[in-house]
Amino acid sequence: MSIKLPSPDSFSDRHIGPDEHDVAAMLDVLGAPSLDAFIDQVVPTGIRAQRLLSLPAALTEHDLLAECRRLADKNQVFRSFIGLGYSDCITPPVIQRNVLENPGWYTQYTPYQAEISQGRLEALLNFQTMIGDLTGLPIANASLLDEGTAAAEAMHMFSAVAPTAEEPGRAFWISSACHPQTIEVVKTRAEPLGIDVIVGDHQAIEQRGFDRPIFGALLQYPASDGALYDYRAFIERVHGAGALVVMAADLLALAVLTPPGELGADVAIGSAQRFGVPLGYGGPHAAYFATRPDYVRKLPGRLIGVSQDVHGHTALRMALQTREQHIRREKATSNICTAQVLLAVIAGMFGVYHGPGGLRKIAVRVAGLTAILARGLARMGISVRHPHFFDTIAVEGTADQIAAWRAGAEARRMNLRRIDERTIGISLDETTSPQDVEDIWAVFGPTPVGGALTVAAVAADTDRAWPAALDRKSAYLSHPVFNTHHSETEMLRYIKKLEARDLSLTHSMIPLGSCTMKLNATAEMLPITWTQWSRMHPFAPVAQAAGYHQVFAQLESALAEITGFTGISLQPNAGSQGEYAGLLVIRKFHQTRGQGARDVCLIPSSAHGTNPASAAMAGYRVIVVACDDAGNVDLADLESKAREHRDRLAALMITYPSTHGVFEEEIRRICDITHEHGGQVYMDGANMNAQVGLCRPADFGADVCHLNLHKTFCIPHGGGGPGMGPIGVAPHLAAFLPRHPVVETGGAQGIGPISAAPWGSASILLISWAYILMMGSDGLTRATKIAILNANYIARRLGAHYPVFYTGKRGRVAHECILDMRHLKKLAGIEVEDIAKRLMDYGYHAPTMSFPIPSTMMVEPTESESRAELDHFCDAMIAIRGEISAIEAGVMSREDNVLKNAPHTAAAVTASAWTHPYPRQQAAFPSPATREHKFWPPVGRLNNVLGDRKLFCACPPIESYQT
Amino acid sequence: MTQVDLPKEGETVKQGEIFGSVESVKAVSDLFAPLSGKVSKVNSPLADSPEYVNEEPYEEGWMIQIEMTKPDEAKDLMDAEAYQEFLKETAE
Repeated sequence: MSIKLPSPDSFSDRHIGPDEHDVAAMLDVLGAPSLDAFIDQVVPTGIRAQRLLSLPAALTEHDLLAECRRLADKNQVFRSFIGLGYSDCITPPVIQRNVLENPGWYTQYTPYQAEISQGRLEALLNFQTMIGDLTGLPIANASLLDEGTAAAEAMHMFSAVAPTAEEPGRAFWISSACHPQTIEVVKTRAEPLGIDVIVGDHQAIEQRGFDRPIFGALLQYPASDGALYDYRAFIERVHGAGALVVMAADLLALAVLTPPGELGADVAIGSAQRFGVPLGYGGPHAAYFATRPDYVRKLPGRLIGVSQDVHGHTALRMALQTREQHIRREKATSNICTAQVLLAVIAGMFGVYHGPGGLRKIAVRVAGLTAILARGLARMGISVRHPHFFDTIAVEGTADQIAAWRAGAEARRMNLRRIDERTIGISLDETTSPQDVEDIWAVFGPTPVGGALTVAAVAADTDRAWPAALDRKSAYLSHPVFNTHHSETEMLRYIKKLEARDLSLTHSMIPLGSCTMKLNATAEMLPITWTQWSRMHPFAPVAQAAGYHQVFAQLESALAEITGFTGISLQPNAGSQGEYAGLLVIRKFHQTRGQGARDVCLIPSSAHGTNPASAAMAGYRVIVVACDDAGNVDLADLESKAREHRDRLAALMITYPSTHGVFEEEIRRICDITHEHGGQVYMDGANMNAQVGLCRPADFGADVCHLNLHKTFCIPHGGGGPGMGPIGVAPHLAAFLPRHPVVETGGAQGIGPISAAPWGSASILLISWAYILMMGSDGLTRATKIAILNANYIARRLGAHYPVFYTGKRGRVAHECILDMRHLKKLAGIEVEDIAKRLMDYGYHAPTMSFPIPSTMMVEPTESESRAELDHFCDAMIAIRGEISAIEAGVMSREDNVLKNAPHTAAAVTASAWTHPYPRQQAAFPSPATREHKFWPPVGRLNNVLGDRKLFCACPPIESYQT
Repeated sequence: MTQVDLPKEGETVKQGEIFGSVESVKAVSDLFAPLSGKVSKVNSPLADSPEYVNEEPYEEGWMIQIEMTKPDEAKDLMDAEAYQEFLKETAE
């Protein structure tokens, strides 16, 4: 008898929640004979894929990790002294294990439900306070995507608030001393808005003034080649010209140098990467943006503010959301949605752990080693360009010398920066040792007469390299939070205390519609902190990153197969960035065909706020297309508007399935109408979780789409980022994919870079790569079917209690459903918000509130949730509907009830005084599940109005936490 | 109300056009000029106390004073009573 081997563990069984038994039971409830028959009822037959996805056979987790090791070994981790905005650093192990590698920190969503997000809100407030202190500009946001886009955001803000902003024809001036990728990203962003960009030498301007009126200026501090300039006089010139100044500043340098705010800058931006965040071959990293209080209402990005809860206790929330795209749409301060929260949390924790003293020590040490390096080179007769610098020097030589030095460095597995054919740049960082400095000296030539150079010897002969005029006198990080948690035990407990105040996927399902909160598997996450992936500099020679480039090629190939689009760009590092890149690609396409006058973008009224915001940034006029009563694009309105604007129609933006969770039957017609009138079709890929394996955007008529890798493809949400938003384009658009000034990438006629790093946040691409490899085509397709099944099951169980808003032709929803709650206000005085807060008492994060329709909830379970968890959630929603019925019937008070007073904190429920007309147990333990395991909301309901009226965006005095 | 954005004294407004905006925590709404004319006075305390718009819309919550250039425009406007009626009808 031959032995039969059971198959090894299958990853898709670990990723997908319901097992065969559950699926059969749910199909029964839905009255469908089989999973495939059920899917036939949901996805229009006209657009169904005719074959299975052609992807490599699924790997087990064990084999995937082995393959990942094999590819990692193809990366060569040289010692990189390249700088250019990326500096190696040491992630404190306690932060690496307990934040970066901890699902209790990386699985959360953006903190819209403030009461169950107090942990990351406090971590972000620490980040904001740290940035405000270090830059000397007190209003700092909770992160932007990278230094390049942060500079562009400053330009955009200045175009609204500069004293001369109203005057037409004013230009934006950029110092030639800025990092090249920053200059190019700003130029790319300026062009569609009709803003002229001038690149120049600030010293020439200081002497002669501006020969053209400007509204803003961008400086780099220290300069890209390391020079330390005193910009005070230049800044006065700019202000005198009626313009504002943004300074891209190195955060570590600000520990010892006069900060931008004290030099007169109006905005400071930069990367927070070197505060404990790995290089990751370009990302993910948090960027910061800080400014004066006068400009707070024009600030881009999320802003955490201090307010109070209903009990008068200090509580944190996202403040002034009316600036943002989800409210202001095309008039938003920015299109940014997902930012870089997890990385901002890490950078803030770096500040908490090191404190002002620790940061200063790191800065002094880095600067000291650099000064010693320069002194040693000078003793060898090598010319160092600038007398003053922080961590970067520029070394000059003949072309032959430069070539020889670079070859010598490479032979010693070191990367120096090539500034031009006569100049080399060397940047030191927190990981640089005295041995590294001696090894660098060895590259530059034989030791001088008198014996080998040693760091110790040269140090005795070296002066501090930053000038007295730029020596920082002001204190920073004086708040107790930065001066308390310096032992590892203290730090560990602080991290854990904050973690406990956040509800995450480690607790329960987070059924946020259109967010796709599926499993972020450990096997997907493990590799990102392996040295060979995490310590690669994005501008290291491409040949040293062969492992990464194989991953990119495999991922691009898989995404091309999944979308049907052969042209892929991995550069956009958020969905909003993907939208922006895709729209610019369309714009370039029209321009090259002499149709540059096309400037109209049709967008359905149901679109996500980033759509019109991105369109406005791309220089388009947004024309809104109506949706009919069924929530689908109104074809008659689309046809009429397409015809009206046919000479100027550039694009249509469509989400599929729609933001209402429906596979519109007429999608092909929608695409055809657009094409007939000269436009291109942009598909927002936020709902790809309902498409993968079943249909493909390229097949039903889209020309370009973006994918949210932090939704369908498992990159964790991190509490509000990181994300990745690669775009796929049809062949006629591939030539226009974004390029990059430092590394060769993109199409032959590509648009300029839209991210600072050429492949966006490269290291987290590993997550999506791993997911696709472990699922294979069968797994991915099954995941899509189960995602749709799960949503329909919920719609069925809840439909009798909360009407389901939109369904397709056969009464089915796609991967999410919208529950109508509008009638509850009249019946019982209950708002959607009350239900969301009551769900917290049941241990759940609410579904998406009031998008795309006010007073509704949009539920997306994903395929990862088991039937048991779906039932628990439905039970909670049904129980809450019961509570609402009691209010309708007059059994429970309309004003003083379990919903209006939700969420109930432990303090409220255990207080000696209890005045509510219902028992404490009903408040806090409304279900059997909560009696077994309870997540306590740390604060009561937030007072949002107070938070926006009395804005406070830094750590409050310690006493306020003790009320 | 968390914020009220108003024009400056001396600016011109036109009937039916946007002259400012109001903000709550969750939404921004444009304000439409009921009459054409010159803004002769602006209620600056509203900047620090937007809540007047909620609490005393007819007293301390006044926004701007307009010197009318086309007084006839006032004929087509509703007064407070007529507006309440209008709201009732719309609700039904």
